[in-house]
Amino acid sequence: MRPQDVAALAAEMAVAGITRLELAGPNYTLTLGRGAAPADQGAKSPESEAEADLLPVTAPALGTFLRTHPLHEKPLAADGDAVVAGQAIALLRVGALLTPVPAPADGLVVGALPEEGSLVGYGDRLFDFLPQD
Amino acid sequence: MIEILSQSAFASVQDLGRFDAVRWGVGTAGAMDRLALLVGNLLLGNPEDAAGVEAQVFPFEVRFEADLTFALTGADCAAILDGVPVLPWASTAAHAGQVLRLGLPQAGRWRGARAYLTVAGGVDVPMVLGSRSTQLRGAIGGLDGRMLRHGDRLPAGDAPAATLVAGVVPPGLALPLEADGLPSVRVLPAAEYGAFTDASLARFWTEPWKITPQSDRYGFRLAGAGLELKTQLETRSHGIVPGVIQVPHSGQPIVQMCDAQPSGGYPKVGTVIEADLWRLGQMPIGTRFRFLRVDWEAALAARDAVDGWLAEVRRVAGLLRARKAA
Repeated sequence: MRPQDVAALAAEMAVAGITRLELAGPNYTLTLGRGAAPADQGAKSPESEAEADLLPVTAPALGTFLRTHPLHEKPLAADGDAVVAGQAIALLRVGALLTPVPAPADGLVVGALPEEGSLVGYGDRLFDFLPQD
Repeated sequence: MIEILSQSAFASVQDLGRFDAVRWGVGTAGAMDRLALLVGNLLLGNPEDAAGVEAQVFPFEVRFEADLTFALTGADCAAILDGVPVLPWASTAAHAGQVLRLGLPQAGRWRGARAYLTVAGGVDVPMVLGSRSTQLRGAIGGLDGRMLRHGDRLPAGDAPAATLVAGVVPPGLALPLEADGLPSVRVLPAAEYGAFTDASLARFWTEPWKITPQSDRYGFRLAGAGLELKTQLETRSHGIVPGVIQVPHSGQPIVQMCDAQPSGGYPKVGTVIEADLWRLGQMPIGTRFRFLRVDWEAALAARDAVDGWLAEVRRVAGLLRARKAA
């Protein structure tokens, strides 16, 4: 069991919708859980007036965070871009599969929190989003 | 129903092809990029050989007359659904009345020439000789055996229980094949290979070949360093399949594609392997590419690699669908 195997197993769990996995080998036991509330939820500090209006966009699944489609050279939605509700603003990649992250409302993509290509977990905050009427 | 809005669509209904009627002289037809059609069907939960629409002239526009889930695969045409960008190589939900517009194929990181529109339930035209593919030469299959045109309405079959709104990393990126900076396809030498001069054969493998504008679903006419026979050959017409590379008197090869007739008499220098036909089918006119020589074992290994990639897509799509249904 190598560290990268743990990440792969976690990704498989996400795809299969498994929330708890226990694995025993000859010289190790491994327990993986997902779906627990992110630790820092609610720790958001109200830095400005605008902050209160921002809508957090969270990860609908586990995967590698991609703002740019593998076929494209430009992001699906750059910082400051106006998008409509349901439009894909990022992708979460697990193996061959790409799960779209939809815009929660009509509005502006303010900025992304994770680095491009980093692994994000279910419920992780991905974007600050400014809804517009 | 899906209504074709483009004036001169030059698109056709295709499935994986008609392989049971070749003995009667009926060509296979079928999608030029079978992987793209297959992946669209996999995302939608359709039977893998369900029919879709192959578009090759853009812009291409359709209107959905009912709520449905569709998938776009093949060439990335920067599609928009009522003004909203649609992901390439992904499935998307549409509402009745919405218009889907495919623009010009984008260069991006992989450029294709043909886009595939699949819908949940498949395009439900009648089966003819075991397939829904449009066979232009015989004017059978598809919609009245012809290319689609403005005002045509295509019926969609009953939608499967669980469709996904998800995408995949395209095979053009997952299974790249280049040699010396040019896209490539692998070739097995064919029956008359030894009848060409050694210098010709050396050029065949080392020089790039260009896809001329006289290329379509019937065949790709190539331009490059011409090939010469040692002595003139008289061959009777014999059975040929998509992928066969014929060399007419001009010395400029023709690769038979999906709408090729199933017999021909020109000498055959090689055959593009089955695993790489989708690559060739997606190369735009003007593309310069190379032929790479392989043996039988390597051709089978290449097919295994494609099958392995498809199995992975099938597996993750199946897992997601099972979770959705649960």
